Amino acid sequence: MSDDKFQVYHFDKEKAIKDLMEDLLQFGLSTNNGDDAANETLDLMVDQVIKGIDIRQRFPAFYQKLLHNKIIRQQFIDLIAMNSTPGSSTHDPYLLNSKLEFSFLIENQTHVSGWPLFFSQTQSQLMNVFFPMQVVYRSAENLEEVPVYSLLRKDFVLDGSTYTVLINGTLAENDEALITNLSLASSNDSVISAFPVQASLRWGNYAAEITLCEAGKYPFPSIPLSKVFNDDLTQIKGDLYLTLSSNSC
Amino acid sequence: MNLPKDDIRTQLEDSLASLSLQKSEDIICQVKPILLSNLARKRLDYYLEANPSQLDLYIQNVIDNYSLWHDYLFAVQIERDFAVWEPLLKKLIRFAYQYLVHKNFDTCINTHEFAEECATKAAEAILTAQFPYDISFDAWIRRIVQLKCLKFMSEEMQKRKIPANMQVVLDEETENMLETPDMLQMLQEEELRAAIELALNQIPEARREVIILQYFENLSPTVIAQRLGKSTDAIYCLHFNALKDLRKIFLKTGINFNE
Repeated sequence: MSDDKFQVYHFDKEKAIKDLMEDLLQFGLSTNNGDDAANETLDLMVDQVIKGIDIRQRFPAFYQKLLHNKIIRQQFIDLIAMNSTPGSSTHDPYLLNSKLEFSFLIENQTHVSGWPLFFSQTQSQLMNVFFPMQVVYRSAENLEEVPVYSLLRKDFVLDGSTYTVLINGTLAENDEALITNLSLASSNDSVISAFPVQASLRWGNYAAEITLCEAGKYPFPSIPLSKVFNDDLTQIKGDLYLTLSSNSC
Repeated sequence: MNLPKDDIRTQLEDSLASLSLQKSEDIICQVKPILLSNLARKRLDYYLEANPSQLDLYIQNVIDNYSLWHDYLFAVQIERDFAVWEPLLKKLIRFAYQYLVHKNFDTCINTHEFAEECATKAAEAILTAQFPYDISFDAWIRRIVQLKCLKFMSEEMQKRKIPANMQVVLDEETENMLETPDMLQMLQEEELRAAIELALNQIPEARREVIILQYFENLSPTVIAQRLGKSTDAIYCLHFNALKDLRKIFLKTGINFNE
């Protein structure tokens, strides 16, 4: 939209600017302080203070941020106050009688509130994928069939739409690498408004990032087995982490 | 603040390589993805900005916390063990209650209910959030509780805004009297209006378009979505990012909406 158009619009410019200013002020009252790094690091910095570290000297940029940003400063002070309060207390009689609600634990779908989204699969879960317990009298596998390893599958609900993220892998012909694909699908044909989405896969010594332009299937660079398995290919080296993040829309 | 990520990543690889001589390869492989993830999340930006040599200390901290908390995280996030969750949920409720009281938010009988609501939201987040392993578990969940409480308080405040049809209409004289600002305030408002117009021209076109349609054409997000051929969620996202952009621009130009 050009600058000229901006001049032409406005049913009531005064009101429009007033509303926008109000929303900007309100936005400032929310948890977002416009500095992702400071927001992300706040708990780490509080931890440092509690350990007795002089953050003014050790983390001068963060200290300056505290001085100049009221939201971060207030959250920082509140968090220190929270951390200074004992974790357990005998003065919570209502907790003894209150009926705790655990339904969130048994819900199949995860409700996520926003980006980035983190998914993980533990070493033992992955061991079960590659080396499943088998019944001894199980019929022989079809040798022509290429085994597909389902490394991760998660369903999640974002902004009212249900999505499935899936990472499948097959062994490369030389048996030295895993060919992996990430699929992102929506159950109701809705599209994620935040595309392009960055997908980061980190597993053992392997790390890769790909960009998803829309829902669909995308290949990751193949994973050399030496990066995720031990030398004799009997043990998986570590947990698998997938991060989906969106910076633009 | 943007440290050269590739440099840190190289340094991180080097540090891990030298640590692998002292630690088992297993633990190095376990913590490496966590460290890379923390780096991508900008978690190390402030930590390393003055003294990049602190990276070794950071890695050691992550290794220690990994050994300490990994099994517990497994029980919390993967097994979703009730025996583990019962005390954890109580702890979350207590943290939320303490925080709401600390913020003087509705210190009445409802606070317990609010605390339970915030704690449940925090619990849902804990199930899927990625623990960074550079702080203790309790310190991490306190931050999650804080963010959920802040969001809850903000939403509650929004709900409590007096709807237009319930507002008291003042007589003209009283209204004029209340609306007469002093000169300084007028100047500040003029300055802000000029800054908003200038800032609007600096944000991406799609975001600017949403702001103009919403505020200057007084259209609802649903109508904007139809007009632009996007989903309503996309419009909310564009609106959110536009406000974020505008605030960043204002902070750069010295107008601080936080103060």
